[in-house]
Amino acid sequence: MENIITVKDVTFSYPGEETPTLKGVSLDVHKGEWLSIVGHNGSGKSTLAKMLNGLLLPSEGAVNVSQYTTGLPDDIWEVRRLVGMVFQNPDNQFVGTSVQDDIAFGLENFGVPRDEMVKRINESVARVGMEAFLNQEPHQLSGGQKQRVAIAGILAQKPSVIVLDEATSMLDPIGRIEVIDTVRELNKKEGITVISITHDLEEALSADRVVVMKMGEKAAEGVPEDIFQQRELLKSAGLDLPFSLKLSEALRHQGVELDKSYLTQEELVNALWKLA
Amino acid sequence: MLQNVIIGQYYPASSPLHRMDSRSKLIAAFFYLFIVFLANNWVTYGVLIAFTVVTISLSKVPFRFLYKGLKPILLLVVFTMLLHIFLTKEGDLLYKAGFLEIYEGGVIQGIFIALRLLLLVMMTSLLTLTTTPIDITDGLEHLLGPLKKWRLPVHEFALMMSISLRFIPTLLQETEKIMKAQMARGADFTSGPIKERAKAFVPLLVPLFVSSFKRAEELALAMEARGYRGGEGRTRLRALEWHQRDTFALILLALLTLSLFLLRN
Repeated sequence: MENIITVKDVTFSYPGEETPTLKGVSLDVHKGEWLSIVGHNGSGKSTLAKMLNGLLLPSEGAVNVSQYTTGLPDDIWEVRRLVGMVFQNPDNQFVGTSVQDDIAFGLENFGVPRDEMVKRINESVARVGMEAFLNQEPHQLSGGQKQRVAIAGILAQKPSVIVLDEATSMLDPIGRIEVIDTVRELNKKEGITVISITHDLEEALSADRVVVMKMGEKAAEGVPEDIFQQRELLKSAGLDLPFSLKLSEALRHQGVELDKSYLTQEELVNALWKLA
Repeated sequence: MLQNVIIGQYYPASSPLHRMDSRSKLIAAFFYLFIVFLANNWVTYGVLIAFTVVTISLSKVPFRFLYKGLKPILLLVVFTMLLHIFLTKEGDLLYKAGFLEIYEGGVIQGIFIALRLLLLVMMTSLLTLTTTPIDITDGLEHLLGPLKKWRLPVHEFALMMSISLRFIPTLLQETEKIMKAQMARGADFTSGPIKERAKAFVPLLVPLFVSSFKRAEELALAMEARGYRGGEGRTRLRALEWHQRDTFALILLALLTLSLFLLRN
């Protein structure tokens, strides 16, 4: 499978800190996949995310995005265009005074001509279902809507990868679903690679692959089914198991005859109603 | 309560003045600041007043909105008028009571100065009443553009302005939230002596400052992530369009200036 991002032996320490935040992390991101990077606070997952579009540069090792390298000054802008990033706080990444101004911000930075800009704004705002809000101001929007505008701003730049850096952690449940559904559709229908950084394992369940970060190192990597069987590892990484998994284990412990521990609520319910 | 705050004093309407390019309005208002000082007799003041009244009626802004802008300076207007009436000793003596002497020249001078101030403030408020703050910012950026040659950070200034405008409602919402949080814990912002009340605002301002700095940092990161690298090579979505009416307005203003030159003493 073709890689869109390769992280090779990356070590990074923040200035003035002795222990490195990232220690020799290597990672391949495949084109079109949904990759979740999970970890506790301080596991280095957010630092890793900022490596992916060159907001931080590795002290050792290299990060490549398609044929570009984040450490090269000539490549950095193309890297940032290709790898869009949605941050945690919906308010603190809204630059424009209205929805269309905010979507335009990235395009203005990349020097896109005005006619092309208008076209791309209208197109990308429709892809996140915010076309009715084009002239709204940020304080009139909900958190989920603001995050969708942020996604539209990235889409307008014609990216290959969207990085969600805890992008749903400040949203209410409805906003969370809004954002995840929007991104899932982009991932499935348009083949945009999604990297979601989260400490919420429920969100990681829907990923194609999961990477577990622990103390600045990659602790595990694999499909969700495998990763979630490694309970000790997840616990030592400071992560809370998904509710369905915990429930099915508790039920098995009580003597309910389940074949295995189920990851999703749907699977669990399907197994339960068939029981005599 | 803070949700409905309108930034600046923009009055939304559809008038020829609203449709004018912000650049021509800025130039006109700036120019007007100077030509007001050309008037020095009844005829020239009459011309200026007529021009201003016509402009105001064209703008479709109700007078009470203009009055709101005038209110803060009304005291200043009355004060300067009285000062001139009592202190200027020119022309015929009109009234004398003890040491108080009022001359004809003083009265005229007082009225002129008051008119000058009123006209100035009315025209400049008309600019902010008919132009959104963001349009004014855009206009300023364009007009001051040539100053970039002397390394004046015009683009940065304009970006700072527009980000400030964008964050005003956000910060107001946050203020309200912190205020409620502190009130829930017994803070009292509304009663007691001024000193106590001022002190009560410290626990409001400190968290607001801290979070503003955090916002600034995150915003800078988000801007960088979206490829921001200063004003060079940047295109713009907001396009200012110079129409015939803008040229026409400036010609009108030039004619006004000419007539003031011809009619003044």
